[in-house]
Amino acid sequence: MADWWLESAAAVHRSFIAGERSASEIVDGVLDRIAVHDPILGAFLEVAADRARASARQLDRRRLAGEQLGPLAGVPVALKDNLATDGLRTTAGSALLANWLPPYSATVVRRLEVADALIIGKTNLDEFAMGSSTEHSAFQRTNNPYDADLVPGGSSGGSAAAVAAGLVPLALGSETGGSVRQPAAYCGVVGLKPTYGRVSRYGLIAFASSLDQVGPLGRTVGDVADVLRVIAGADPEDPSTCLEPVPDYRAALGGGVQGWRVAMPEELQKGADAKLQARAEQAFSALVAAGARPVSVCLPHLEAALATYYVIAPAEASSNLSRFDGVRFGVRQGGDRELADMYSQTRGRGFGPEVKRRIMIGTYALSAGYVDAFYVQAQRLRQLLAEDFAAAFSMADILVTPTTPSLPFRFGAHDHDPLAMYANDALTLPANLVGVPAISVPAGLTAGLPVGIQLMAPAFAERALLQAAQVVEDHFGPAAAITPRRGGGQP
Amino acid sequence: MIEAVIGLEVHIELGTKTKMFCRCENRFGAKANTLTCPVCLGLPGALPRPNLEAVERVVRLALAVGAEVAPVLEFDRKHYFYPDLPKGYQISQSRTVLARGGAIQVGLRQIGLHHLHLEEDAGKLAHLGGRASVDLNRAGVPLVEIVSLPEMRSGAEARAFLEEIRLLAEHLAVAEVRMEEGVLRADLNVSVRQVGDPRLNPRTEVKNMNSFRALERAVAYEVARQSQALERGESLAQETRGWDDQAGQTYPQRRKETADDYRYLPEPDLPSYPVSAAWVADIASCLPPGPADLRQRFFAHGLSAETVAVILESRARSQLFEQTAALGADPVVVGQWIVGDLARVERESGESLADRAYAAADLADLIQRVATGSLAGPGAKRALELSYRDRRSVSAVVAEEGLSAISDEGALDPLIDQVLAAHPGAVQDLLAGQEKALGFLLGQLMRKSRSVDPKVAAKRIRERAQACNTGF
Ligand SMILES: [Zn+2]
Repeated sequence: MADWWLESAAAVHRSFIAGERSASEIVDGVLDRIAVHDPILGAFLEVAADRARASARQLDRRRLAGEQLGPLAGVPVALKDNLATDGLRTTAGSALLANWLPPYSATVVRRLEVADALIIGKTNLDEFAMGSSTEHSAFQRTNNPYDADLVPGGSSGGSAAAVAAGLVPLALGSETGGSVRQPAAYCGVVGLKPTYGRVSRYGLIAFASSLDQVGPLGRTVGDVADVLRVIAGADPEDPSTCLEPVPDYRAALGGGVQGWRVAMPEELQKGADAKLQARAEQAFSALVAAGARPVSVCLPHLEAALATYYVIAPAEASSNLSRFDGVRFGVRQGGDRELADMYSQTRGRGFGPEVKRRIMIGTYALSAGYVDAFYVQAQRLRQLLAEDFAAAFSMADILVTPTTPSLPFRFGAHDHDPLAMYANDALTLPANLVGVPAISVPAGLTAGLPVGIQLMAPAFAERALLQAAQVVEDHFGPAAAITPRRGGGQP
Repeated sequence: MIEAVIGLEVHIELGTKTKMFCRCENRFGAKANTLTCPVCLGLPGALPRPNLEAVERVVRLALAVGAEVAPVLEFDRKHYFYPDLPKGYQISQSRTVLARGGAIQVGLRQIGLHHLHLEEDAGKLAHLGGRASVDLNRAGVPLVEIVSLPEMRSGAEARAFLEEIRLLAEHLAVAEVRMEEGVLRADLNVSVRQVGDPRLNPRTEVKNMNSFRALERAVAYEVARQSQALERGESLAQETRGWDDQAGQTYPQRRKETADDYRYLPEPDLPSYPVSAAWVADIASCLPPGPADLRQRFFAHGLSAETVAVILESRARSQLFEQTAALGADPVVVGQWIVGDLARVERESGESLADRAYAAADLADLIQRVATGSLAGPGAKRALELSYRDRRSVSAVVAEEGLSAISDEGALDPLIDQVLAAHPGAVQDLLAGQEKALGFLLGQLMRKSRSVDPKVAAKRIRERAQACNTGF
């Protein structure tokens, strides 16, 4: 029982409800483990120890008083630091928000609190969630727990690393083009991107509004299903959420895939490392062995997905980031005489290079004379992609692909080649463009590094998606928490 | 011959209870930054949610001017940097506007409209001792922008167009237009050309005009300035100018060398909402009468142009007029009361008819009493004042305050005798044929009692004076 914090969230919850462990003991255990391992890992930007201890004490009192407790009672959860948290610094990994204390909480955070989860702290990310390595945080580096010389993936790298290293059993991340699934794959945990509109974006600091979605990371498919049930559902604060009912996702998990149709679209294997393709085929075979019927589908416009994404996402980002102008956010610089000077200096010095690159791309794509050739054209391609996927899902219930084209890379590997970094999202971003749910499930290690398998399903078919993910998890075995290791070139 | 080509972009703050994309109160005059929330402050992570009441108000206005309402409601972001714009963009409409076309009748001419669209207002900058501060209470207040075609030809016409829009807003319950609060603002576009020349010269834009008079003067100034420049053979440039009301002049603000690039983006935080034809038809079926209809109806009742103008100023007055006339009161007399004493009482009590519903039954009762002679002029005025101020019925006021006209001689005589005894000189003058003395004595009598019927009293003063004389 020594390493109880390495158990699943469900097990931690059960032990708390059964009175085997108090919430205070759980929080203290987690805080101790963070204190020991996070200095090596760098997953947390802020550990809210006092707040977590206070919530734990209150929860213990309520349990002793015999009160009805929520479905995540006693479960420690970490939050990606682009989720507004009332009274807790929320930086989005940017120097411009280094000291921002939100006066409100994101809907997902409120829902976790209502479910009696214990908020432990805020995790590191690429600035404004723009990146695939968490290298672009203004504050610190987060290492891959399997090898500290390698990136944890991004932009939800802090959340993925924290879960993988057993610092917390669960975390929330956010996705725009794969920012939950890709770090989940790199760190060997489960990461889910729900259907666009399934989970409220209210309080998620926007990157690209039409692509963003909050998603859970955990070490088991079941844990991720439990969190989804808590955070999903219509929210009056977010008009893009849907009224679709929220089922009990865990209840379906044992159901198997007997008679389902599964496909491995060729377009979503192309360019991936052969070892990762082989692993995806293994997952596919496991589904077939469980009774699924292999079918083939094609996605003729997939080739254009990466370019489409890198027009739409920066365009929306350039708009969403306009508010960081030095008037109320950011360290105001210059502008004693000229307003324009204040804007350019504050933004010029406040944003990191990757964010500036995307603002430039996005501003260009929306400018008069270019908007038709770029943004409008990209929207058309997005529509064609949606039609591709609709056709594919009329043939298949589940699509199987590697989550990433390659294994975790070294820090700095893409410093001089942003396009190579962008290509990292090639297999994940189509799900964001067309709004469907997708999950990355660990599929063992290769060369000592974790491999992630991606499953995709039609919009609002999260139940089927998780059910299939459970079959894959059963085949490869659930992720084990790993004690983070120092790398050779440790900073 | 040179003619002016004038277009207006008119902004009206809608009088909704809450703001356009959040549930903050929409109210003028609160302490700075108290009517705010994460959404209208533009805090990171906050999302807009549209206010249906604002949409409905614009649809009413659109239907009233004959514009075509779009089948979908969609928003776009318009980007620019300014300290009063918290998000760095304004949520507005550009691809699909809420309504297109329509026209407003101004005098004998129809001024065509390009479109009407919905958007959010920005905050307000205040400059205090060399520092600028921002008040975001107004940020997110719903605005309708009404864009005219460049079809106006004079300052007077532009002014009349803007005044008609104010009346439309008033009568269709779109907004309560208090000019001093900046509820109605117009951007003026004006250029000049030779009559018959189809080409347009570069235009001047004067932003944020918030007075009718200033608008008219600004047009006159610009037409003169641009015409003179043309006559001197100078070329005109497209530019934005400011208005100096004291000097009565526009002055250069900035030259537009390139068009502003607002980088319009379909608002990705909001879906496209269907605007159902049934819903629009519902609104159309209970559309209140607009100023043009009312004007026609009022003229048909035989009211003078001045009276019609004063009644039309407010929806409450117009309704009171029609309801009172419907109760059988003489419309001309109703009009006189509304523009005369009632308008005065509204002013003096500091409470306009819009804030305080005055019953048509009371006004009709008052008029009826005067017509039958049971209430006389000064008593009637008093009855109106008291019933308006104290929210009492006219019949209660008349009874409780003893305002009934004293027209029977038995009640009048003792009062008259007192007045005659106090002013023997005037009596002598009257008997000597000086009619001025009658007015004086009547005035003295009225000071004793407001409820004297002056016609009866004048006759009786003469008789009593004669009687006194004979009595000597
Ligand atoms: Zn608000």
